[in-house]
Amino acid sequence: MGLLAYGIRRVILMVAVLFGVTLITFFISHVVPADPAAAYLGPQAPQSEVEHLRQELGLDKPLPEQYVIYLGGLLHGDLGVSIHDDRPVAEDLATYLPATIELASAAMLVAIFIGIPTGVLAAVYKDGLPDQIGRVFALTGVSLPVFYLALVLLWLFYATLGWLPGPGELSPYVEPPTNITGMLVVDALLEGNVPAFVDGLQHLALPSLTLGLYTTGIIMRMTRSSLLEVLWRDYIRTARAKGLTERVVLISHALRNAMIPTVTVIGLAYGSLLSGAVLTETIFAWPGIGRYATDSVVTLDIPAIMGVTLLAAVTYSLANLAVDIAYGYLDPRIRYT
Amino acid sequence: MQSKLRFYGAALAILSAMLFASAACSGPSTSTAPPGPKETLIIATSIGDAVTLDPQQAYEFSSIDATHELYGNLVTYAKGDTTTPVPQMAEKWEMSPDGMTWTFHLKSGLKFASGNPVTADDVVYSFERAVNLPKNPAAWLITQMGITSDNVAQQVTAPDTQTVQIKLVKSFAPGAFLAIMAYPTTGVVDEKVVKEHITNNDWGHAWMNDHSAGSGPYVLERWDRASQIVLNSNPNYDLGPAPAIRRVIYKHTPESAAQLDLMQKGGADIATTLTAEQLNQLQGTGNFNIIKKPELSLIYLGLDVKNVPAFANPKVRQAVKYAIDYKGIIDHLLSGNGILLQGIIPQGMYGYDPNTPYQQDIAKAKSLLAEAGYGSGFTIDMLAANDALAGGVSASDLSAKLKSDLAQIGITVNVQMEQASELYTTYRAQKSQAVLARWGADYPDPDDFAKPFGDYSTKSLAWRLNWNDPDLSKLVEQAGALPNGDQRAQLYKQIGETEINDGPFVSLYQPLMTYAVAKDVQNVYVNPVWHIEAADVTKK
Repeated sequence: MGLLAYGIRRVILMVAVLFGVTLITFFISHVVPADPAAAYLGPQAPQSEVEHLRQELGLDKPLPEQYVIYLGGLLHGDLGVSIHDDRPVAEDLATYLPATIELASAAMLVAIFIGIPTGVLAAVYKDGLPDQIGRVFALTGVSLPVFYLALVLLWLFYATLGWLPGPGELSPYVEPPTNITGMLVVDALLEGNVPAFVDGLQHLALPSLTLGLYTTGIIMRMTRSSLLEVLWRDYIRTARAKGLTERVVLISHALRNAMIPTVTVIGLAYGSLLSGAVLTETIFAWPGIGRYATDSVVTLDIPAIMGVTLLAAVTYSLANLAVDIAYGYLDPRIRYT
Repeated sequence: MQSKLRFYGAALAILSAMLFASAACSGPSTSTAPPGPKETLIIATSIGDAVTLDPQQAYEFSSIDATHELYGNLVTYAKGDTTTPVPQMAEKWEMSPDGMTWTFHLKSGLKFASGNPVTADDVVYSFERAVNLPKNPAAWLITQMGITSDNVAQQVTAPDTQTVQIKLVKSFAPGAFLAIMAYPTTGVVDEKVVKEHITNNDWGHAWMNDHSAGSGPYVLERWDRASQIVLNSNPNYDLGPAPAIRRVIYKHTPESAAQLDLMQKGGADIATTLTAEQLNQLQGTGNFNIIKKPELSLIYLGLDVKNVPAFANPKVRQAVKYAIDYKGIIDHLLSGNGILLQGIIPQGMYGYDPNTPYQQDIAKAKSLLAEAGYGSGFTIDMLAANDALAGGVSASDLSAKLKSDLAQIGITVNVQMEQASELYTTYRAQKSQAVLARWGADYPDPDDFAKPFGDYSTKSLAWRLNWNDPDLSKLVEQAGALPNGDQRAQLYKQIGETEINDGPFVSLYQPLMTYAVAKDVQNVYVNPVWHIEAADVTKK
C-alpha cells in the first residue's frame, strides 16, 4: 500500500477517534454536579436570570439533544462560543495556542539538545562516568513531578540567585511587541524589539526547562539504549573494519539507525508537551492553552473544555502520523501497510 | 582599499539620510510623545476575571475598574464617596413625585473620545444595548426595574437632544436607581462608532469586547488577555480636568508574591492584593503608603432553616452567633484586614448599623442550645469554596476556625470544600445546610443588601436558605422605595435589628481592601465598586 492510501486510512481512523473523544468529554463534562449558567452569572445573579440563561444556552434540553446540536455545529467547523469569555472557542484557541507552541517548542529544543548528546555520550562511555551522571540526570528528569521541579527552579534561579525572572511572559516594564504570530519571542525578533526579545527569552528559560526536563530524560535513555543495541551489530564492525573514523561510524552509521525509537519518542512527546503543559503554564502564569484549559474547567465553560480536549486529541493524532511518516524516511525498509 | 572606502561612504550617507528622516518625522509632534514614567500608572492586579470590556456587559472586578475609566455616566460618585451621586454627563435631574419617571438634562457641548457630539440618543442607545445583549450578566440591574428588551423603546426616550427620560415599570429605590446610573452597565456609548462595528446584529458587541467608544477620561489602547489592559488619556475629555496620568496599565499579576516583587523593583505603582505580611514588609521600607478601605461586602455563614431542623429555632441561630470568636478571626486570621460587622449593611453605605451585640460567649450559646432542646448538639455539613476570601484569608482556614468554635457548643461541622460553581449550584437549589460565602455590592445602595438578605420573594439569599419572614419582606420593600432620609434610615435600622436577632445569617466580618502605593503616587482615591480613580492620581 502506498503512502497516500495509508494516509487516508489514518485520517479516517483519526475521525473515529475524535468522535469518541467528543462523546466521552461531552457526557463527562455534563454530569458534573454544577450549573454552567449559574457559574457564568456568578453568586449574586437573580434566579430568574439563571433560568433565562439556561434556556439561551440550551442547557434545559435533554443531554442527547444537546450533543446532537454540538456535533452538528462541529461538522460545520463551529466549535461553539465560550460561555465564559463570550468569544468563539476557535478564536480563543487561536489566541492561546501560540504561547503554548512557543513553550513546547522551546522545551523540545531543550530536550533534544541535552537529551541526544548526553545519550550518545552515555552509550559510548557505557558504565563510565558520563554514563553514570547521565543516568542519574535522566532518572531525576523522569521521576520529578513537574510542579515540584517548577517550584525548585523558581526558588533557586528566581527567588534565591535572582538570575532569571519569575512567572509571566514578559517583565511589566518592557514594552511588548506587536502581535504577529502570537509567540512573544518570535514577534519581538520579527519586530526588532531587542528588550522584549531578551526579556522574553529569559522568561522562557525556566518554564521550558521545567517542561523539557522530563522529555530530556526519556530522549537520553532512549538514545542510549538504542545506540548500545546497534553498536554491536555486524555492519558497525564492518564499518570499523573499513577503517572509517570512530566519529563517522558513530554519527553516520550507528546514530542514524538508532534514531528511530528516539524519533517516535520526540514526536509523541511533542504532542504531549502541547497538550500537557497545564501545570507548567499554571505555575509560570504562562498565557497558553494549559491555562485556558484550567480556567475553562474552573468556570465550567463546556464549549471551551470540549475545544481544548479536541485540540489535544488532534495534536496527538497528528504527532502519531508524523512519527509514522518519519519512520519511512529513516528506514526505507518500512512499508506502510 | 578604495572599494572598502566607497562602501563605508555609501553606508554613512544612507545612515545620515535615515537619521535626518527620523528626526524630521519626530521633531515637532511633542504632544503625541509617549507618556513618560511620571505620566504612567501601573497597577499590579489580577485581570484574569475580565470577560469583556463592553461597558453594558462588564460585570467582573477588573472589567468594572477599566470600563469605569473608559465611559462617562449620567451621574457618578467622586473621590471614593459612595453615598452622594454627583453630576457627570447630566448637569441635573428630576424624579417625578411618584418616583416612576426620571428626567436627566445633559451638559451641553459634550464630546466622545471620537470627537462625535454626545446626544440624548446615545444614552437611549446605551440602555437598549444593555437589555438586548444576549447572555448579559449585568442586564438584571436594569431589568429589575421592569425595563426589558420588549419595552425599552417606550420606557427610555429622548424628548430632545439634551434630555433623557426614563420611566420605570416597577417602583425602585431612588438611591439604588442613581447608583445604577453610575455603574458601567449604563455607561454611555458613542452610538455612531458602535453602529459602524455591528456584525450579525450583535449590537457591536464583538468589537466592543476589546475596543472603547466612550467619553471617560481614558480610551482603550489594548487588552492583551491574561497579560495587561492599557488605557491612554482621552484627548477629547471634557467631563473633568485633563488627568495628570496619561497612561494606565493594569498589569496582570495574580500572585501576590509577584506583586510584591514588582513593587520592590519599581515595576508597579500600586499593588492590590498583597497579604498582611507583605504589606508590613513594604511599609517597613518607608517607600510606600498603605491604603485601607472597607469593601462594600460581608462574609457570612448562612444557616438553612429547613434542611437543618435545628436552625428553624431562632434560639439555635442565636447560639451559633454567640459561639463564634469574631475578634480572633479578625485579629489573627485576617491580621486586622477586616472590621466587625453584625448587621447586613456594610460600613460606607447608607443605612450602616454599627451595632455589634455578639461576641463569643460559650456559656450563653450552650444555654440557648439547651433551651431550644438541642443541648446534646447536632451535626451539619458546611459548604465553602476553594478560594481565598476577601480580606486575605483562605476559606479553608476560616472554615477550620468556625468548625472549632462550633465544636465548643456541641455542633459538629463537616466542612466540604468545593469549587465555587459547584457550591452555588447546591446553594441556589436550596439544598445546602450551611454555607460560608460572601455578598458584595452591585451598586452602593442598602437595597442591594436588604433585598437579598431579607426579602424571600426576590429568590436570593433568604430564599436559598429557606428563610421566609413576610413582615421583613414588607419592610424591605418599603425602605427600598424611599429616598434617603429619616424614614428610610429608621426602616433600615429596624431591618438590621430583625436580621441581627433572628436572621439565618451569621455576619463574620466586613473585609478591608488594602493597597500598597508607591510614595511618589498621590491622590489615590478608592471607590469600593470601581476601585482606583486613575484620573485623580498624580505622580511626583
